[in-house]
Amino acid sequence: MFAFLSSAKLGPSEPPAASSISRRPTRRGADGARLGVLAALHLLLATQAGAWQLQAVPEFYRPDPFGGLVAVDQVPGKPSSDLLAGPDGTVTLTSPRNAYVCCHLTVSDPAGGRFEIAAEAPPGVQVDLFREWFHRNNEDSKYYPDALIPTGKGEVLALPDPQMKIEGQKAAAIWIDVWVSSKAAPGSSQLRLELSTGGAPVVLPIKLNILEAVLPDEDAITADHNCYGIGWVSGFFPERAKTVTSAGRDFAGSDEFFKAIHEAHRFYYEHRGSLHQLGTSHTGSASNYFAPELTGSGRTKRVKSWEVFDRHFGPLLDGSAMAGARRAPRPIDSVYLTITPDWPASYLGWGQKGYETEFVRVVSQMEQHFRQKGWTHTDFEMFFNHKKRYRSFCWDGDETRFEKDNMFFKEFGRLLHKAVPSDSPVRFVFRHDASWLMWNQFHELAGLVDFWVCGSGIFAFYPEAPALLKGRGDKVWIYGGAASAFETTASILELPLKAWMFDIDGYILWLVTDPGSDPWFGFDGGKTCMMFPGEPFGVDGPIPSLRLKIQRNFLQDLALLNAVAAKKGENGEQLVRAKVASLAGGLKPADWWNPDASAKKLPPYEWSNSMLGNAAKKPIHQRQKLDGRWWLAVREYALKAVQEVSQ
Amino acid sequence: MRRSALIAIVMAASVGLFLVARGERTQPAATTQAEPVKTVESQLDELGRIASLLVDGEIAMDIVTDRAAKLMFRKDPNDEWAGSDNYDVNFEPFIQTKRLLIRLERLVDFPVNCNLWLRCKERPDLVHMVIRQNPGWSQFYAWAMQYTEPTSEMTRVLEKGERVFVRAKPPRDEIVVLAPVRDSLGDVVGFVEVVTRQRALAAAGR
Repeated sequence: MFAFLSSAKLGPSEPPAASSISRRPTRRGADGARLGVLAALHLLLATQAGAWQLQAVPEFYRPDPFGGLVAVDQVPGKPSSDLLAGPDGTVTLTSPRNAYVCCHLTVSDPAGGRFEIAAEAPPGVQVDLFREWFHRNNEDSKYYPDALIPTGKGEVLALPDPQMKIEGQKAAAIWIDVWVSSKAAPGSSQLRLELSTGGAPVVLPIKLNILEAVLPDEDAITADHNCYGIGWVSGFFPERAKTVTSAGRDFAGSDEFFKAIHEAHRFYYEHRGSLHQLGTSHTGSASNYFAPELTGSGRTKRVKSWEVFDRHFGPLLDGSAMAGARRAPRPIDSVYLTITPDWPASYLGWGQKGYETEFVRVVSQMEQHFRQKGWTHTDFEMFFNHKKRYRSFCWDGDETRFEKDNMFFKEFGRLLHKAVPSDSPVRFVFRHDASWLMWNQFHELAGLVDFWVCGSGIFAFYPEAPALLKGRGDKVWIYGGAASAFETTASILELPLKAWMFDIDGYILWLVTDPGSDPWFGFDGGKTCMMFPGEPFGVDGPIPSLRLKIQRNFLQDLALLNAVAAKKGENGEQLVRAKVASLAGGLKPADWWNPDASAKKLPPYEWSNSMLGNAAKKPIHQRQKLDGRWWLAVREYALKAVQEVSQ
Repeated sequence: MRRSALIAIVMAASVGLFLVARGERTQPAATTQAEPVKTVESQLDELGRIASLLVDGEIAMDIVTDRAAKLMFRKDPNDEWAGSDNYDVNFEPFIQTKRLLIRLERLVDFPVNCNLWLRCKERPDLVHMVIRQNPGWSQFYAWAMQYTEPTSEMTRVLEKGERVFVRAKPPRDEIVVLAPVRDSLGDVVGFVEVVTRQRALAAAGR
């Protein structure tokens, strides 16, 4: 957690004067007059000998490639320049243990050249460095960092970056992930970041304030990330796919293929999130890589083989796929089953006893298999993704709009109850992604659907919903899209904060595996991706986005806030939510709701998206004209509060 | 149950009698194994002929609700989904016809889809897919398509009531027969797209 931001350069291990002239003072390094003179001298010398500069910037203020900050991260009239220095010129990072703390480093020099960044950390602390890729937004012709390219120890970088090809680039940006393990010693220690350019090194010391508190492994809310099918796997693991196919084997279904999927799950888990992969289609087919193999029909229908299913899901369901993460390994929280109107029972028998027989036989076998394997820590979701507009079925399984369609949910709920013993330790859930009709369905499908994933805008119409649903034990998420990298970093917080303010269980980003055909030079902002292919940088697998890192840090903050709330007693959660809301410009938690939307006067089948768009409240950061600074204030509150309640 | 069984028997017998009367078989003759593509084509054509006989155009035209038939053409510059959000169907004719199409698909020994296309009620100059079968093969349907102008092959079926054979141009690999669907007046109200794919045939050993 970043306590405050500051700059770099002249540090305690300041090199001899002869070397120091090759460096320019930071914008606000030490005190005035002396530095003013030195600065003039250094500026003069910079053009001749290079004037390398190393600065630290808090995570919500993204650097640009020209030595400034991304404009949309700053609210007009609220300049962030005062955040570019601590009171004494020292950069301080404060963190509980078992947590990450981060910032950007900017490396700049008018002349440019080759450079290296190295980090030294105290015991129990690890530092990961990432080069930030600047993506050009064709709409405003500005650059925004998002893809984070892992930078190995001793890796030589260059300014201007030859890969990014940015005309006039003056600055490079490095994201630093500082992992403070639960074994790190509480107290004050130091990180040492060193910029080597061939001449004298530039050193940025960072004071690392490690708190006694240990961040809980459990999250306040689930941050889920959705994807469809398997096409993305070879896109993110191209080298592995090539190796397999060049050996004459199919990549899909190979051990390497499933290992790649497990790595993607671990990737999100490491970022305090989870991954959902849908293995069914709108037409009702179930992918061979997701479904157990079936045989027979009618009274002879049964699972023929679990071989592929177990290779795919076994390591995810027993948690072994998460081994090697910095978090303690555990099974995934939830997984889609491959149940559709046409799987496992053929739609040919719909409405007849054969359909029920096929469904119950196979789902019962699934329950038995999962129980025998001990897969009892994961929610197995019966979920329907089809819509009648795709012409395969006569009802909307997803985002139902018409009340008459509820009869199909009732029938599938009945079938699921019949297939799964009431005392089963296996957690089968009936998930429905609801939008238009949610309020009706909360009542009509009570006791059948027990996992609701709701459109966040319409859900805000119903402040009574969380108590209604959670009071009867249902699980509740909201869904939305990822924030664009071309928007303010404050927008990254919008959906997760909404879920937390709503006092529900989590949220899901509907698609996170589509970075577009050219994320490097034709990026669209990344509303459908939270990770990038690592191939152009020699990485066999996905690399993170900056947005994913900010989201992870935000989730850490929420876990910390919940820990604080738990210590505050019965009304702790309400108190902490009220405090956070007040820091957003004097709001209250009720301000996240929208109970008076005019659309509610009409039946949902009469609603249109434009009507809903007009009814929706603006995002909090837009309404309150907030940049990321407001969340830094929340973080500061959380860090102080957790120390107080720990004493 | 007794009634449905009786209907199934009558239907199967009808199909059998129809094929016998035509002097054809649903299973490929052993002598045609050397020419699998031709065999596939003839089987698709045969399936199209049966589909034309068994799919009831009057029932089919009841599938789309009257409200949806109007609102599917709604345009809203601020809502690109205005039409599709209002798409709706009547359950009984949909399920009845879909199950029949699934049965038709099982008359051949290779994978095939029988998709139902109809003229749009409010815009008979346009067509739309009304039942899309699993796994979703079609030469003409694109994801989220709500309606389209008929291709020349479709127009031939709709205007002349002929079955039309269509082979997709590479890299697409669909092999298709479009078979007319008639109402009780004999008017062509749509067609069944009987479609298979080269790669599916290869996987099935055809």
